[in-house]
Amino acid sequence: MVPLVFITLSTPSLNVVLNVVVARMVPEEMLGRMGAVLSMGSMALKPFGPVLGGALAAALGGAVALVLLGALIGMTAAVAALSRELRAFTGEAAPSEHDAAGADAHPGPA
Amino acid sequence: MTDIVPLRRNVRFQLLWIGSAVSELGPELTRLAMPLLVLALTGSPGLAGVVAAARTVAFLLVQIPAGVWVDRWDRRRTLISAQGLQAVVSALLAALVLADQVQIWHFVTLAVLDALCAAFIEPVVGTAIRGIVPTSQLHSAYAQEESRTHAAGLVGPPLGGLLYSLGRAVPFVVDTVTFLAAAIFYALAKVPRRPANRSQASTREEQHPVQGGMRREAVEAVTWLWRRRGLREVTAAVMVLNLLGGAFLIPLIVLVGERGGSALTTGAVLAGLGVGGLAGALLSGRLGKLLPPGRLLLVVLTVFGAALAATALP
Repeated sequence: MVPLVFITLSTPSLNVVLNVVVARMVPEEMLGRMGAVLSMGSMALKPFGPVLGGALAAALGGAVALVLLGALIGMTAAVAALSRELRAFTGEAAPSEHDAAGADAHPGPA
Repeated sequence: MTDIVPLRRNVRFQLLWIGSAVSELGPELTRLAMPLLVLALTGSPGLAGVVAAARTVAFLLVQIPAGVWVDRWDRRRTLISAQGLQAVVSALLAALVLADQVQIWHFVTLAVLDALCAAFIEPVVGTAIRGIVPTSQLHSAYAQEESRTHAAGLVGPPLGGLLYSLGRAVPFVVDTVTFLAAAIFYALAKVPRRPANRSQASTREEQHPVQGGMRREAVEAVTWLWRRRGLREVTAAVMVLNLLGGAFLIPLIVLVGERGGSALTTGAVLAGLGVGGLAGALLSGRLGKLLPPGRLLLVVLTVFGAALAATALP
């Protein structure tokens, strides 16, 4: 059970950093909607986690299910690492491009 | 206006933080007490599940429209009204429990109303931080937010169980008090009313039918995210992590059983995860600054995957 410590110690940092990135990058007049959209995205998937975990544990046993889940997350890391945008992502858009995007997104002379 | 007050002395942020900490503790108290009470009254675990499910479904349904309205309306008024209404809903439930008149449809109806309030409160609190904390302190502010979530999740349910043992209405009465207190703290925090560059958008709003405008404004947010290379990939990876990361608890519980651990061992492991999460939240201010967000995500994913696999080793 000791390796789990690394998960509990590192994951909150990721939450914090992502919240900061969203607060910094998203135009202020869109923050309410963005918060709702992101929370919807995570909540919609949430019920499937335990379903998946339960099914894997039932079929393969606890130990194999954990190794498989670990491998799947490792593969996610590998696929994510292929994206240059993700590797280089600093969460700080150039302010000028940013404001332009914020203005773009709003008034709608279609 | 270039002096930046340290976050600790940013009174508006600290009031907002105390308000949301208090209001978050309330539902954590009733998270355990609610099913216990439904179970005691009806004898049906299924009905206890229905109450919780009604709340979740209502929250999911109203979340996006609520997000749009939060961007349209006066945010301060929205927050204080929603928090006040949530206190009223909770007071009704407490009164019904105290009077011994509570029925299952009360629980369901009030859980739905509670979810509606929560769907407005959460996005306002999220946006308010950006309005009252300077950009350079956002990291520390969100680290403090993270600790609040973990601490409330850790302390709340056992405390709720304890209060329930004192009297079954007690957690519900305390819940009401926390919501009232939160509404007061939010009022004192003077949450920003609306974004600075909002005026043009609100005049535009009147020219559009509300329904179409609602959908268009929600789609705007999704489109904005989709066009943001980098942030888009990060969001996708995090969603996969949420799904797979949420899957490990049951196999872990099974594993403890396979190794001959008792329910007590399982409980100890889960409590350990809670304490570890709080420690992680307290460290997050420092750890999060070690790497740029993209790389941090890759490291956390790798650590997560490796640690899960390593847990299964004998």
